[in-house]
Amino acid sequence: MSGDVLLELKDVVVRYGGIEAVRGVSFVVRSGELVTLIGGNGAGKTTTLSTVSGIKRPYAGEISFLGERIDNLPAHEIVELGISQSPEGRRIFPRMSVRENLVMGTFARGKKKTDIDRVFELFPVLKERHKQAGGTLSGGEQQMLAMGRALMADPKLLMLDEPSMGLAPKFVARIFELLEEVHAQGITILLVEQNAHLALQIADRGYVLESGEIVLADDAKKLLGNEAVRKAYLGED
Amino acid sequence: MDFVTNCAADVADQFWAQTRNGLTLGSIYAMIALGYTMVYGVLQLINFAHSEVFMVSTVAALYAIPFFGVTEGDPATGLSAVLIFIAVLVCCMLASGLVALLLERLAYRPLRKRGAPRLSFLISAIGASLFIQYLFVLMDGEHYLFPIRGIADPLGMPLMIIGLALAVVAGGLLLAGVRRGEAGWVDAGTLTGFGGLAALIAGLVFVVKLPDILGPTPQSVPELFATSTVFTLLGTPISNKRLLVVVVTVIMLVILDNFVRKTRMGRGIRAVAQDPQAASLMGVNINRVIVVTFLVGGLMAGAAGLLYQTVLSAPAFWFIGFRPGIKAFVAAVLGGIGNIRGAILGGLLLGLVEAYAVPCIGTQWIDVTAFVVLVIVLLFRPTGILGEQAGG
Amino acid sequence: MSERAPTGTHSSEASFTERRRSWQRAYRAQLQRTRMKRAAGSRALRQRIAQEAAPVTTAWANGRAWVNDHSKLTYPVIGVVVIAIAALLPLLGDFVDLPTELEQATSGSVLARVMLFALFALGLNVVVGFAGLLDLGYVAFWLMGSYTAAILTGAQSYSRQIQGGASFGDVQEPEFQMWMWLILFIALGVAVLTGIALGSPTLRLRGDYLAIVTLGFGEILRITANNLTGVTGGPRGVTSIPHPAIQVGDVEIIWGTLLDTKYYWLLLGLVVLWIIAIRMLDQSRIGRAWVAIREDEVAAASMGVPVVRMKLAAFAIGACTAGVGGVIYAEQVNFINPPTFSLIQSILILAMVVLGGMGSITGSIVGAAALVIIPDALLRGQDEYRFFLFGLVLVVVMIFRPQGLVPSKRRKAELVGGEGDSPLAEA
Repeated sequence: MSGDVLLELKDVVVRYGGIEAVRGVSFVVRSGELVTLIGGNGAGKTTTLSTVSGIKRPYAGEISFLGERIDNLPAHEIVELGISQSPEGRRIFPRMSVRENLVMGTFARGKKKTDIDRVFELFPVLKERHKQAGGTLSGGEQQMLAMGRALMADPKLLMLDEPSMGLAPKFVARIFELLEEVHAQGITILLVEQNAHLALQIADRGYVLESGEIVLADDAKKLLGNEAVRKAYLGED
Repeated sequence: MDFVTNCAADVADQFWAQTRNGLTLGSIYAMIALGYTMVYGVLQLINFAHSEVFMVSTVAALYAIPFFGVTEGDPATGLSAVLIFIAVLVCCMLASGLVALLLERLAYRPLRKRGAPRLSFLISAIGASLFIQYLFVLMDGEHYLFPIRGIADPLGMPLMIIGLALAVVAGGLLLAGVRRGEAGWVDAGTLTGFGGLAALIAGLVFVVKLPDILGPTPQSVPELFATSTVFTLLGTPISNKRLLVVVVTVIMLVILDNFVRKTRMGRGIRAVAQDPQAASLMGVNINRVIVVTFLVGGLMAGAAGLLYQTVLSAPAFWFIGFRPGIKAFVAAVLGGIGNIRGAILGGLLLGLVEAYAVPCIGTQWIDVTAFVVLVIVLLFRPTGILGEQAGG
Repeated sequence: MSERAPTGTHSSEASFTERRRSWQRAYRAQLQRTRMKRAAGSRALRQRIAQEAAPVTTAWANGRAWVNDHSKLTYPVIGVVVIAIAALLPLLGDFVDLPTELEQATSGSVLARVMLFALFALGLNVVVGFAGLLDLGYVAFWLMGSYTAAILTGAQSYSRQIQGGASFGDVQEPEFQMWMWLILFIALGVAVLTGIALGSPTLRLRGDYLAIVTLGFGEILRITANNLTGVTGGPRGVTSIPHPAIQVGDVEIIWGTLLDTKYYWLLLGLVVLWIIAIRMLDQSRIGRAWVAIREDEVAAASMGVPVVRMKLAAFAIGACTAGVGGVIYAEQVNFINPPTFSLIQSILILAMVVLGGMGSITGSIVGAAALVIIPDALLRGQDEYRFFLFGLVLVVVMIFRPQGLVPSKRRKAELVGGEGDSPLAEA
């Protein structure tokens, strides 16, 4: 499954004021993989993603994508290189229609009619509601819209930040099914999740983040079996 | 009670004429209000200096109209009037647009870079407004850029001479360095060159007088074309100038609406207004969106400035932006700031309210109406009539 | 993984875009390297300077610590010394031969204006610096104070009769009576009431709306003063407002013309009084409530801070300061008219607060002194430059030193901003 190195972080440090939220994180995502970053609240997962997508600047360290440094590029240029993100809290444009939201996903490149059909195929709900304003969708639908919007960019790497957050269990399961489907189409995914159990079940590899540092890195299946992980993140004694 | 009945009678008497006046002035308010509302939409910033962007347009008209051959007492007619008006309109819009861009670059972007709190933006905006106003006051051909002559006079010329001398030395060093391939000489040459340039600029600042552009007194702008009645509607004569205001406003608004709804950049503007972070994750270049927003607001204010000047025969004056600027801001808040349709609605509404108030309270109180309306609206509907719907 | 064509459809176009991008990237990388090198260099330099200066700085720090530890004793002493020096300042020219500029700057009339504006700046600082409310109509309260004085001293009716054609012999020019000192308190009350009347409906508004509403309020009062001729004397203004005086038995102090140094001492006294009062307020519960409101209004409200009442308090304190200053101003200058109270004055006072440092008491005084003395000494009679430079000062201070010349410790952290976490912060 694993091909060339797509994304690589080397000793990345991110600070908020004087506080280090991420303290020397290094990991790689290879082409075709589904990699997950798990960890508790405040472990630095979202900060790591924001730094990759250029919303935050690293204080030290290197981030490269397809062998090229991207840690000094502005966010919009990183998107143009083929990294797209479904951000934490979904961040749908509330006063744009579903269709307009999806079209926003293609902002960084040209627009193609077929893309929107592909997304509608994947998420039929969105097709039903394509004229509705994004802000009026339910949480689960908004999550699908956020994923669809990120897919519209036709990314080389899709990053998802807490897609299960605040959703009813029924929706969570559905979202993860869809994630697997997207992955099966050959798209590389970096998934950040608090719901470690689900994330590790669909992932190829996983990294465990704790207080801004990676404390464990292994195949997802092995992590699922790891005693420490089971205790800390899977709620088992 | 007497006051109210008298007032009602007066308004009824002049109803259509005041409606006409209100709609013309309201269109102009609406166009200025768009600048406030769009910038507020993307930056959540009240661009206090927007009234100066408007003011610059009247100054541009002062120069553009004679440039195209129209002088005081000799207005253009027929087709040439139309063509000259369009040319002058373009000049005014470009001048205002340029000022809006400079404003963004010099007064707001450095603050944005630091992630400064909102209060800082407001204060910087007020400072920029004051700065531009008095820059035009100072540009009367009498004032120097550097105010303290006691220091400037003995320093200015020597500095310039030193600057020139250094430039010559730098040139020699560079030339010799390049010929002999000595990097050290080239570096030294570059350094001396910069030093010379700095001295030269400092000297110029001390010696140079500001150009004669405007000065402290209002300058009357030549009338572009003569006023005439085009037709009479409901017993009210409609002049060609008032008609022009409405036509130009409608054209501008249609273009703007299409730009914001249909183009890629327009989508970018709406996205940034709704959620800047999500927008940048979609690949929207926020800086460019902000620049374009300022530019569009400036172009609109430029058009509004020329129309205001045309319809009221207003002079070019450093303080002329203040009243329409404040009122347009009130209009933007009235309609719901950040909301493009709200700005148009608010502008027309405020124009009408002011016009109907004239017969009742007289012109000397008229400026009070806008603020009273603002306070009342904010008390009962704090987000304006249509609500704050940035990018909606 | 899916294949797609580069952004542009035309290949040469795409390659040009690509090339441009790679130049930009290289340029940015170079810029970052240079910045880091520069930062490292300046860090090293700072460290060396700190090392070299260590004995001096530690001595200074120890001294400060000692002063702070014995604040019960040292603060009053320092205060008295500073006040004494300030009080003797206008006499400096009598004893020492000063250069013309300096002599002008320490003349009683210039210093009196410094103190007047220092008083205003102190008041506005409570509103803008402490409570974080941008008031662009501060001049309105000054106007209320000045017109209260003009009307109650009888100067207004006198000027109207004179302007109406009465001969100077027929009407009595108003003279100062001892009871007229009460006008200070009446004006204070009037200004507070005005402040509350303006504040109670509007202080619920968001910050930037408040700015524009207060601006409008200032304009409304000015227009009213201009049009309500029966009460205010209209555009022609009010003349002959009597100079204050004290007559108790044999003691008689009369404040003379505009240039009288006694105005400076009177205003200095008021400023000292105000500084003490404001310091006490700032360190009280109210002061802490203001900090809370400034930092997060919603959180403050949920902690039980009465947000609107605390904002009103700040507004009222600011207003009464301007009211009192307005009375002295009217009595000193003798003459007021509506254009005296235009928007530019509000901005001028704001510039003083901002330049000195928002939330800093010393800063307000320094700001007022700087913006009165410097333009007065250097740009005599060139008002255009004054306002031009004030505008520049506001922008430049906000960009390079948002905390002002004499920053308040509490306020500094808020104003210098974070690491650009705001999504609009430029990358």
